[in-house]
Amino acid sequence: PSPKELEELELLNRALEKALNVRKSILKTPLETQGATGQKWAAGKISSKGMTSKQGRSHRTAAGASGREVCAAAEPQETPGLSESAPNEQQSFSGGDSAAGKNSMAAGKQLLHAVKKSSGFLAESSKKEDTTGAWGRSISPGTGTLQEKGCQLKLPLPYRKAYSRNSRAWERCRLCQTSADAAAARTHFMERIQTTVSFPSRHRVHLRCKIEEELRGLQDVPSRLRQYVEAEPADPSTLQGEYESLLTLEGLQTTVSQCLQKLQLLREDCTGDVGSCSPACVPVRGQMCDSADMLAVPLLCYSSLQELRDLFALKLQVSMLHQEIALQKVMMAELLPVLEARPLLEGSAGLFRAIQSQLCEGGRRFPVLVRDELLD
Amino acid sequence: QVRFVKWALWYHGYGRPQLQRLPADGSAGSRELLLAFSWLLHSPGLLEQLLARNRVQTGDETSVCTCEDELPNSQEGTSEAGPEDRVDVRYLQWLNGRLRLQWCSLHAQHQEQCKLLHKIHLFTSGSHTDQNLGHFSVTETDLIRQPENYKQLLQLLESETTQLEAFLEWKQLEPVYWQWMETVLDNMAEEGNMCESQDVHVEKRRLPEVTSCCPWADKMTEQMDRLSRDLVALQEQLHQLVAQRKAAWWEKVATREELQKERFSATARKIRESIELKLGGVTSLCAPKKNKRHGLCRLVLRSKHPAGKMSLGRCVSKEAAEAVSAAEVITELRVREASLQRELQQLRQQCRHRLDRIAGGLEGVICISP
Repeated sequence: PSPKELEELELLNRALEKALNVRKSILKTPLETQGATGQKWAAGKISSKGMTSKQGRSHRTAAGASGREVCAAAEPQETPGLSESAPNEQQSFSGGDSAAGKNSMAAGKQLLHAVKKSSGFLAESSKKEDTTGAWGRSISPGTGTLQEKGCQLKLPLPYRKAYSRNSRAWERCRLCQTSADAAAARTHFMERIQTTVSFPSRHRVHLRCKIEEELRGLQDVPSRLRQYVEAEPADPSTLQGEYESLLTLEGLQTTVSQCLQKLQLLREDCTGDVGSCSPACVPVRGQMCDSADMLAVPLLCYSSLQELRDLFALKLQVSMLHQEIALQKVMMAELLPVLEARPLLEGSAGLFRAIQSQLCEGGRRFPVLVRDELLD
Repeated sequence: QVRFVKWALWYHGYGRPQLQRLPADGSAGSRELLLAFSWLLHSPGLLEQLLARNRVQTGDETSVCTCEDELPNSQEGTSEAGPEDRVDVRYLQWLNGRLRLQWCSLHAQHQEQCKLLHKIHLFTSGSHTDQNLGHFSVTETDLIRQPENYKQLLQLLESETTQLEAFLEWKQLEPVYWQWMETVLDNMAEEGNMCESQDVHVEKRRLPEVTSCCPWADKMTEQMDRLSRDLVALQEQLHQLVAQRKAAWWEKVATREELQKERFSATARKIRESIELKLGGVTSLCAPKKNKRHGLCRLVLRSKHPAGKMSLGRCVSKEAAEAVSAAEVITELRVREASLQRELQQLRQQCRHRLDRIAGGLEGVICISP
């Protein structure tokens, strides 16, 4: 690997170590404070990284049932994938020629980038941990726990003032309407602009961002429809059930053809007149909603810890899948030609196995290659 | 840069060709740019979007949309590797393993973070002066403990308030602006009347612009192709199922002589209505989506039961109704996940086929897939 990659590997190593350190310290503290009574680390103290065992013991107070429960819960879960990734690194190879072509550099680069991005994520989340960790560190005994006093806390006055002024300003902006004559003048202006657009394209919807937005909306339709299809019973017993099933399926069929029609329209819109195309045309992701709504406070409400955890887990899962798909495409483009191009030598069995496992099993499982020898 | 601006405007639907014809070095066309700018003020709501995007974050923010993060252009990598460079496939495997490790660590960290967030939100409920929020965020809690660290945050809040007030002023002056823009258009119309007839001919020649050089269009086409394949496969499956069901139905009907027309048509109608209801949600899938946010949202803990420590009864403002619920987002994410899984499996299946073919060419070796 080139020096640049070594450098990147170094970065990766460091990020990994940092993440592992966090985990180690989390692992350490419950073990050490468990002996002491009153697990202050847990009850009300929001600390993860910062808490050393010494402080844990000095904040001893009467243990709440909540304390022990949170302590136990705070042990990081055994992440499932960890055990699986280990065998990967220890694979041995039978074949002699286990070097892939130069093209796999690109795949390697993609992986590195994905890894760097993940370490970026880690940096952000560990920054958060820093703040919450520091909270535990500097609370002196006697101040009371967050759990007890949390609902009585008050934000400092300057902040409160600034905050309320700010939110009132947002509200006023949101409710503020465009005056009638401004709206009239504006509409007139927009119409005049529109008339200067050349004739054939005037009546077509040219909003490429809209095309993209609509396409994105359609992307999940097959999945959802499949859910409905699978929910239908295979063999309904009653007459009514049969009729219901039939109607449902017909309805779904109509929906699918509607979607296909819509897709066709979008396709036509897309291949319409093309304006100047910049090679770096990264779409500028604007919002498609109403201007006034843009100024509303964006809130995401959750109702329980489990919901929050599911939310984060799913977000990560979706992001991972996006990355995996991108990686898969790159690997397909780079690795398959390696195998397909040359006549396979005797020793490339190992290479084949490795590539097969990467492309088809996500690197988790390996095919078995058996020598085809006829016993005479 | 000039090309990017032209592209971005075209992307957002600004159809005025005079802009596209401006020279690429940016030496002329300030009036056209002014028109374009005015157009942007209204059409995608430029000011509102800027304000929303740069909103000062005082809460625990997370994003709600399921859009793909842009990964770097893969074309850059292949040209760099020289002919002598060979990469061991084990390096790839190792990188892959480390990537998985990172993902797992990230997951663990996220879960930790969730627990801590939940605790802070729970324990500080009832303290926030803003009834909509009800509790503090991590930043605000830390602010209480160490106000000196957050001077910058205060400044940011105050400058944002000034910006918002400026926005309100602008709203009052708006009529003047649009009237001015009309005069600009008038001026241009006067001057440009001579040149217009020529422009039409130029345009006609320009129309067959190559679509193939546009990576955006390629990306869109690729997505559309995939979607179309998916839908067509589903259509065929449904076709078969419907045929089956119909056959089964007519069988059942034929053997049931007691199927009184009147009695059944009443139940049939009821069934039709209930199915329409059930599928109502499905047909709305194809209709334009409701407005999805792309930016960050503030996480707020709200218990489902209004009777509780949190005085939710008071905050019956409109804001409360506009918040996105985590349950909705979770459902959408699950659907997205299912789609992506299917896509990944399809790609893997393709690989399997191709590799099976290659395996056939391996001399004297049989390949047994896991």
